[in-house]
Amino acid sequence: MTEQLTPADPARIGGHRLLARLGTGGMGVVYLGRADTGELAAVKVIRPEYAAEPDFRARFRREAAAARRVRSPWVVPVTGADPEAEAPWLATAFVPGPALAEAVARCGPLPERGTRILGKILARALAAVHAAGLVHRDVKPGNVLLAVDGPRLIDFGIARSPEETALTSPDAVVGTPGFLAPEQAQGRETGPAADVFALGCVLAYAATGRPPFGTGAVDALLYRTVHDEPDLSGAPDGVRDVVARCLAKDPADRPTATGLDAVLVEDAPEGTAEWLPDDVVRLIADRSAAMLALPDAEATVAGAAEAAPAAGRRRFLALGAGGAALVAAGGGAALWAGLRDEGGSGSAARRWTLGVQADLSGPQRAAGRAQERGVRLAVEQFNARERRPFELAVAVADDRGDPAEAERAARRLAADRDLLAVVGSTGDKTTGAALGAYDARRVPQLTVSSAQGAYGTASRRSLLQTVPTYGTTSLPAALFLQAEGVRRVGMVIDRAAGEFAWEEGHLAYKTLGLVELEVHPRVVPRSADSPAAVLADVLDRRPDAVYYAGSPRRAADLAHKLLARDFTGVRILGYPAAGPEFTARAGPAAEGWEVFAPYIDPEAERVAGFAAAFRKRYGHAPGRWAAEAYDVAGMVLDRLTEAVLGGRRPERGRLFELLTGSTYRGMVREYAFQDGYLQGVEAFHYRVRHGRFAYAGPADVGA
Amino acid sequence: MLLAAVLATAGCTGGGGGPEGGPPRAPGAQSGQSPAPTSALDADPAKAPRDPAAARTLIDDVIADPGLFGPEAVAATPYESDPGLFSVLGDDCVWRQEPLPGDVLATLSRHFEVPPAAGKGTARLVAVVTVHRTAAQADWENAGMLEEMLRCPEQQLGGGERLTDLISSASYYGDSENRYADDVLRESGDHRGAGTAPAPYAWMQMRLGQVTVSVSVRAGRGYDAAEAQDLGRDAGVRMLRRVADALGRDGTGGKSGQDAGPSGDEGAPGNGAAGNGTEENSTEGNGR
Repeated sequence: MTEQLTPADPARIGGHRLLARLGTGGMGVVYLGRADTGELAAVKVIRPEYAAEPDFRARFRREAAAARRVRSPWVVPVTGADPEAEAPWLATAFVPGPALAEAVARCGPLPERGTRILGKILARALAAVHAAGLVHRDVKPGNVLLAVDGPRLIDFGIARSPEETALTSPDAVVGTPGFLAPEQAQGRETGPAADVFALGCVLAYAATGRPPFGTGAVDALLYRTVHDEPDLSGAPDGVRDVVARCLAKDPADRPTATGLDAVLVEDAPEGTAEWLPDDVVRLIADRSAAMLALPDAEATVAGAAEAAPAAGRRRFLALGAGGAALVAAGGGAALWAGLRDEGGSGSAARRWTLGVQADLSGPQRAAGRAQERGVRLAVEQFNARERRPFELAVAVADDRGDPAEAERAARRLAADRDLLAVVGSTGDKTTGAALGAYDARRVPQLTVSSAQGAYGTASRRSLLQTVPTYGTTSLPAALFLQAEGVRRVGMVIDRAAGEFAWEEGHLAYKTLGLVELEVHPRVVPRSADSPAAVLADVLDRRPDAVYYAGSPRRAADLAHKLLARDFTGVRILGYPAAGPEFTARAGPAAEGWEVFAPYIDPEAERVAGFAAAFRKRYGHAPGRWAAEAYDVAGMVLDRLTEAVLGGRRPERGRLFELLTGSTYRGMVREYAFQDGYLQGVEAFHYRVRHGRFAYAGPADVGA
Repeated sequence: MLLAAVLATAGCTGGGGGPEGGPPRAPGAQSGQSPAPTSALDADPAKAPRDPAAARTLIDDVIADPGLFGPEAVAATPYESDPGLFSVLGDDCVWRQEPLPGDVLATLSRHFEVPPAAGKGTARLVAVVTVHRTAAQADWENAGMLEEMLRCPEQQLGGGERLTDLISSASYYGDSENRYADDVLRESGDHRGAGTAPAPYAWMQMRLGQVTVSVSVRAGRGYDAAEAQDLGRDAGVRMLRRVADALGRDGTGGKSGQDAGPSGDEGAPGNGAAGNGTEENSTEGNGR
C-alpha cells in the first residue's frame, strides 16, 4: 500500500511535505504528500532523464493544463503541477480507498446493479475527460479507486511513458494489455473510443472477476483482443449487452461515454448505498481509515477545495419523504445526488452529513432508536424550512451496543469527509470505544446518554457530553432527602451491576455528605448473588432512607427484600437502575421508589410540541432520550449555521469550537460545556406509581 | 455553592493522574444483567493454596524484592512486617495492625526505598501480598476496603503521617482497559508528615483469584502524580504475573501472564474463564 520514504527521497516537492511512497513506475515515483493547505495529494514525480526527452515537457504541459479542465466528481482532480521543474511533478487529490482490482479480487464480482452503476459513473467520468480534449488511455481496474462515496478514475493520459507498458513499440502505445482497444494494440491512432473499450473490459471484469480477453502472454492477449470475441460468460444480462457494445472491434460501433451514461439507466434507490456489496464497503472503509492513519496524515480539514465549481449554490436533493435517511457506511447521498443530475456536467454538489451512532438492535435499542428518531426529526424539520442555509443528511450506524462494533462504526462514519459531527453512542462502553476514531479525524462527538466521567485513558478531546455525569444526579436526590427530613441513609453500591455503579455510588456518597446526611455505605462485590447480601447490616443502622446504585434487575431484588423487611423509609433508585425491568420484576415492591434522572419525561408539558411532531412523524409517542437527542441535533444545526461561510463546508474544528464555546437553550435544558462536560445539573423527578415511573416534575437542584 | 461543589467532585473518578474509570455497562435503559463472573486467571485448581503453609510459599515466590522497583531501589528498615498481622483502616480512619482475619491464609509486607536522586526526594514503597481462602472472600475483602476508602478521604498512618485528598477508583476484569486482573483498586492523593509539605501518594491493588498484590508509593518532592503511580503499577504488574505463573494452568502462565498489563494497552483479551471453583458466593459481607 504505502511504503516509508527512503533517505534518497526528498522531504518536500512543490509545496508538498512528503509522507510516504505510494508506488514506483518506469517514469518515476508517486508519493503521498501534504500540501500547505493541509490537503493530501498523490504527487507523481518524473525522473529527470525522461524530462530530458525533446517534446516531453511540452506534452506534459499541454496535458496537465487539459487535465485541470476536467470537471467531474468522479475524476481525481489535479491539484498542482510544475512541468518546468527539473524533476517535473504532478499532484492529484489523494484517494485513500482500494482499487477496484483489489476489491474484486478480495470480495468477488459485483452484482448486476452494482456493475451498471459503476459503469454509469465511470462513463460520466470519461465523458468529462473527453470533453476536456483528453484521452485517458489507461482505463483499468487498477486505475479505478473506490472511496467511501463512490469510485474515482485516476492516472489519466498525462505524459505516459512507453516503458510503463509491456509493449516495445515507441509510438505512444500505452495502456495495459487486457484492457487495450484493438486499435491501440495495433499501434493505430486512438481516440475516446479506446477508453470506452477499456471501460467495457473493466465492467466485464467487475461483473465476472475476469478480464474478457483473459490473461497471460502479452502477444496472445493482444491477438485475442484484436481477433476474438470477448468471454463474457457469467456476466448478468443487464451487463452483457452493454459491455458487448463497448467491446466492438470497430471504434465507430462503440457508444460514446455520454451515450453510455444515458443507456445505463438506474433508478436512485430510496436512500440506500447497497450498490456495493457489504464487504466491499467494509474494505473501502478499512482501507481508507488505514491509509489515513499515517503519521502526520490526519484527515484534512473538511473545508478543502473541491473539484466541483462553486458557481451558484447547488440545491441539495432530498431523498425520500422524510428527507434525509441514509443507512450504513455513509456517503450514498452524494452519489445519488450526482446521478440525478441530468445536466451532464456531472458536478454533483456534496451533501453534508450528521452522523448518528447508536445501539439500535442490542440491549439499549429503545434508547438508541429514540435518539436516532429525535435527531432525524430535528434534521428533517431543518431541511424543510423555507430559508434553510443548507441541507443535511443523516448517516446512521448501529453499533448494537458492542464496543468492537462501535469502533468499526466510528471509523466508517468518520472516514466520510462530509460528516461534520456525530451524535453517539448510547452506552458507556460504546461511547468510549468510539472516542479514538472520532478524535483522530476531529469529528465532534456528542453523546446524549453516556454519563461516564472518564473512559479509561482515551482522550475526551473531541467529545461533548450533553448529559450530566452519573454522580451529579445525586444532588437533587440529596436535596430531596433533606427536604423529607431524612438524617441517615443506607447506601448500597452494587459493583456487580457494572463499572458505572462505583462511579455513581461514590459520587453520591460524597454529595449526600455535602448536605450533611449521615451515610453508611456498603459495597456489593460481583461475588454476591444479590445486593440484599448487605441489607441486614444496612438496616441494622436504622436508616431513614436507602439509596441504591446499580442495575434494574438487581434493584428489583433489593426492592423485594426491603418490602419483606417492612422498610418504610425513602428509597432512592439511581437512574441507571430505573429501567422497565425494575418495575416489571419488582411489582408492588417498586411502588414509591424515587428517581432523579437527567432525561425528561417525553409527556411533560415542556416538550409537548416536540412530542406532537414526533407522534405525527413516526406514529407513536417519543421514548426516553428522544427529546434530549432532538435538542442536541438542534444545537448542532444552530452552530453549523453559524459556521457556514459562503456556502463552503465548515471545518470540524470550527464547529467544535462553536459548540463548546456557546450556550444553547434547548427544550430540556440549557447546554453549556466546560472541557467537554455539561455545565449544570438539570434533573427530573420520577416516582414509581402503579408499576410506572410517573413524572413528578423538574427536580430541585438548589440553583 | 453546593452545585459547584458537586460538579467539582464529578470529574474525579480516576485514581489521580490517569483517570481509570471506563465505559461501564448500560445506563439509561438498563438491561440489568450482572456481568457473567469472569477471571483474568486461567486457574489450575491443583495449584490453589489451601492452607497457610502453601499460602506462605506462594507469597515468597510472588512478593517483590528491591530489583522489582528498579536498579536504585533498596530494602528499607524494617524490611518485612510481622506476617501474623494485617493492616486495617479503622472507622476512625487510622491505620492499625491487627491479627489476621479468618479468611486470610497468609500475608506479607515488604518496605523499600528509592533513594533521592536528580531532583527527586526519597520514595517509600510498600509491597503487600495477601492470600485469601477463596476468590469470593478476597472480593468481599475488596468491597470492605472500598467502603473504608469512601469513609476516609483522609487517613492517618501513624507517626504524624497523613494521607489527604484521596480519590479512588475500582475496575473489575472486563471493565475498560482491565484485561489483566480480576479487580483493580486505586487510590491517589497526597501524603504529608507533621510539618512537611504534601507529596504524591499512590496505591494500587490487583487481585487474581484468591490473591491480591498491592504497592503503595509515598513519593518524595520532585515526583509528580503520574510518576508515583507508574512506580507502583510496574512493580505490581510484575508481581501479578508471578501470581499468574504460580496459579495458572501450565503453559498458559494464567492469562494475566501474557497480557500487557495496564498503561492503556489492551493486551490479549481474556476469554473470561469462569472462576474454576475458586469463586464461591457468600451470603453475607464481612460484618465490619
